[in-house]
Amino acid sequence: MREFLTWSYLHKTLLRLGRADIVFYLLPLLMLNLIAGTLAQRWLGLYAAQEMFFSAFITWIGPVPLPGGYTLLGVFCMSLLIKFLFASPWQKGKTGIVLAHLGALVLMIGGLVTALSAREHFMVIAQGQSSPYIYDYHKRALFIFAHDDLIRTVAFKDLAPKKKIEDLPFSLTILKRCMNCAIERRPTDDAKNFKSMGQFMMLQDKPPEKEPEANISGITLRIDAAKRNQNGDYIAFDGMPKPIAVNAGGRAFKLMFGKEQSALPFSIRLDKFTKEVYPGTDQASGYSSDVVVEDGVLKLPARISMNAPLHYRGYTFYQSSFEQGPQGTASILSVVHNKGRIFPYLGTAIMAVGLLLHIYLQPRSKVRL
Amino acid sequence: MRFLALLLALLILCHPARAAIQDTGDFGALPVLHEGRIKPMARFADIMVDRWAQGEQPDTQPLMLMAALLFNPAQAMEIPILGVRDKTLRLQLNLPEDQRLFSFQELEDILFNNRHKISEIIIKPEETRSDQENALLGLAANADELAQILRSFSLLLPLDIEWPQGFRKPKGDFITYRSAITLQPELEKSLKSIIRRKGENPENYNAREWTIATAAFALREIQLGGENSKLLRIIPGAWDRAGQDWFSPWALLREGHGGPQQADYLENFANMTAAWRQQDETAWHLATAAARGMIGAHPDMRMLGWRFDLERLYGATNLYPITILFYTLGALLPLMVRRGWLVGGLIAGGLALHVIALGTRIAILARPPVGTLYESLLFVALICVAIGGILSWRTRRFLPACVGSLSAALLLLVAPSLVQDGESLDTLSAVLNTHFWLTVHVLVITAGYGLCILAALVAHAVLWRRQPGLETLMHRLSLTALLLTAIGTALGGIWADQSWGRFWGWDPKENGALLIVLWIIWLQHGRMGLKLSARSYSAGIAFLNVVVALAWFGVNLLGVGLHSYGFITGIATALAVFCVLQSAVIFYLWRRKEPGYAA
Repeated sequence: MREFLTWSYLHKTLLRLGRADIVFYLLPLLMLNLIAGTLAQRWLGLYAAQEMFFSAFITWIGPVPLPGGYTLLGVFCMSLLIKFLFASPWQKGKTGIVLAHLGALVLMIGGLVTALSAREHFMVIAQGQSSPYIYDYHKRALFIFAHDDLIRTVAFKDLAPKKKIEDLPFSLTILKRCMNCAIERRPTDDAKNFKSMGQFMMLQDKPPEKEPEANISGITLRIDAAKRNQNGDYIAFDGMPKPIAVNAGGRAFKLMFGKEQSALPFSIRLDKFTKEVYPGTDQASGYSSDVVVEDGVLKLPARISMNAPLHYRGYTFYQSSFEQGPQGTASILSVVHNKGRIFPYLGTAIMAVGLLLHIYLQPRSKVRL
Repeated sequence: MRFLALLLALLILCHPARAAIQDTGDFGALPVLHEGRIKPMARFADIMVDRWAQGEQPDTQPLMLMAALLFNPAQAMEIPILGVRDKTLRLQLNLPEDQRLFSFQELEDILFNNRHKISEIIIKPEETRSDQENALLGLAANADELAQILRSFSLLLPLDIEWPQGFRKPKGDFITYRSAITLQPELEKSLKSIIRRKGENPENYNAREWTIATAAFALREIQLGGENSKLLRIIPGAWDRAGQDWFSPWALLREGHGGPQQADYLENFANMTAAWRQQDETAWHLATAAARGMIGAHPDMRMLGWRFDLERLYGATNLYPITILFYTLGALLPLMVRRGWLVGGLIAGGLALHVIALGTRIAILARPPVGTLYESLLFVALICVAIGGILSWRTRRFLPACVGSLSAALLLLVAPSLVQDGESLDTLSAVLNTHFWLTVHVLVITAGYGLCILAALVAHAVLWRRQPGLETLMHRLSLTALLLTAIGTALGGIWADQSWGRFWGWDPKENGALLIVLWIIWLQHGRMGLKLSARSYSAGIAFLNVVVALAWFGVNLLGVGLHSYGFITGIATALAVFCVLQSAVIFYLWRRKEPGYAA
């Protein structure tokens, strides 16, 4: 037993991990995972397939557990690191191969930093309006406003049935929730205790959509101890036009359900959104948003367009889409905060130099055919 | 659509052909705004006829066919031009089994009777539609486009109606919608008065009232039919500045964009109509030349300049068949005669034509030639020949150039099947509309694909007969392919970071590119770690052909992800056959006892 704990044994085991044959055995598994995950996207959608195959430590194929993308990439990354630190041939003629491995390692570390730190949101700004709010693509929440001030945000994961939301001057209990709801007509005999839109509509659970953005999430909730005619059951769901109004303790409350939102430490004002089209068609040749970053007294004008994002205070704003609403055109910007953003640039440059050197430093023997 | 035949047959005068117009004169050089670009009429005709005929060959040359459709629609409706290639669909529609091309007249009633079925298919999710449903939908769309073209100049065509007495007569030898348009309100007013007095049953009308009703009905029907005719955007909306929209004759009339220049320009088409219908070659040449002269001075045309003429030339002279011939002969000739100058000359000739054709595309589109799958095939073929040629020049041996030529010939043969909707000179989607990233990422990665194909073909040769020199060449090609595909993939990630906000998103196209890189890395590590025999290593390199085909085309068949501009349908069977055949060949070569290899 003791010999397993000796430094030389550990050293030997570590070096074993850095050998080329480990990569040789690992890569087929990684390629199989890649192929299966790619094919699965056709039926599961990109997000679900990614969660099942690539962003998972274990991928379950029925009852069979297989190593997931995280596990395979983790071992691959470890192997690369050990190879680089302990088994690199530090000779002039092998510079290329050492650099190529280093480049791949930097890319992998970048991937890890991105997976751990990147936050992706979006913001919708109407032309002429300013907004600091960004929304999560996937997460939903219940928002409680008192006199138009947001006083409470309850994440969807905390909205389990029978859950009571405490510390409010009225009683709020969750009755039901659905990640993807079918909105159906409520039978008249079931409408007795329901208020507002709940009298006519009911939310039924249905399987999630391929892309989570397309899900319509919602909850059914009960309010008590509020103004008398407001006590009863309500529904709230994504995009519901009318918030639930509650008066209690001498204050007016509003309850809304939707995508989780947070505020940037500054605001973005949209001066103009432009969609350029090819003449005589609806096919866009480009989209752009003329914005002003409003950060205290600082007013910074900028243009965000396809392939030309705006970087400001660690956030990057991308032209993602647009919508034509009753109040005019609104630009939709993706907002990404990623501490690992520099790694791919660095890794690609190192790998490119490495591979070029490797080919250049190959033995110059003449190819004789 | 259904009343179009009746309408055209009843209302528009058919003239028997006299001496046929032999050539189309300047008609082919007139500009049309189509799918976001101004194109010569000759190219527009090629694209549309190819799209309608679904790869079948109508008897008439596309430009002459277009002229007939525009200027003599009543007769042109009888020309077989709409392709129905799906046998099951032909059976479903009760069409003759052995016929593939049908006239508009033959299909319009059938499509009208199936209109409810077509509406149901339209609202079905795309992934749930059967091949026949897609084919029916495509046929309906093609018939709709054809109907729009048939009606394009219906406002200029002579009408077979008697003008009622007591009304001001329209100017000109014939009554046309355009000449009668100012008199239409008066006619409508009279018709309303007749209906008020005598009701809607024409049997109660006297002869004059009948004539008024017929003329008013004819004008109304021509107007209703023409209002949806938007496809032939042949007249600029503004005559004093470039970059504005162009309009079809009917849209010009309806949307009120007409000015004096537009009216003069339209007059040329009226003259063309008369000349075509009379088959008067002199008048035809005069009218087309006048139109060309007039539009040539328009700011859009001045801005396009020589690129417009170049596109016409590109459409008229398809260099690819002769390029394929040169490449094929150059690749196969060394099997019969070993004359270096002849092989080199043929391959160099093919390469020169290939460069000219690709260069012409770059000049016409003013962008790198890798915006679509079709274009990437043309470029990869060029890379294969160029690298093969360089290697042959350095080693003084035929083999690399022949392998490069053969792969290029095969790629160029496959390329036309990837052209979607008849147009190979496409405009780019917004996200691709950046010259920098198209050049840097797509050129690098497609060059990597080219090297993979070359390495794979050399690997076939190595498996067939082992030679150390060939093995070294194969190994170096695979390393260079790794360099380009790895860097190309990483550059694609950087582009994605610039435009979508993430370096890697596990999108099928990204995964496909990564698969090629991982496959080559796996082979290299197997070779270094002595886990793969020389023969297995060569077989693995040969299998790159399959990996590249799946990553290049296969992932586009999935129809998911952000690379939606590359989605394609209809090549799954061909791709599967290629992969199975290629795998079988590699397996055979790998298993056979070739003396050069250790067991």
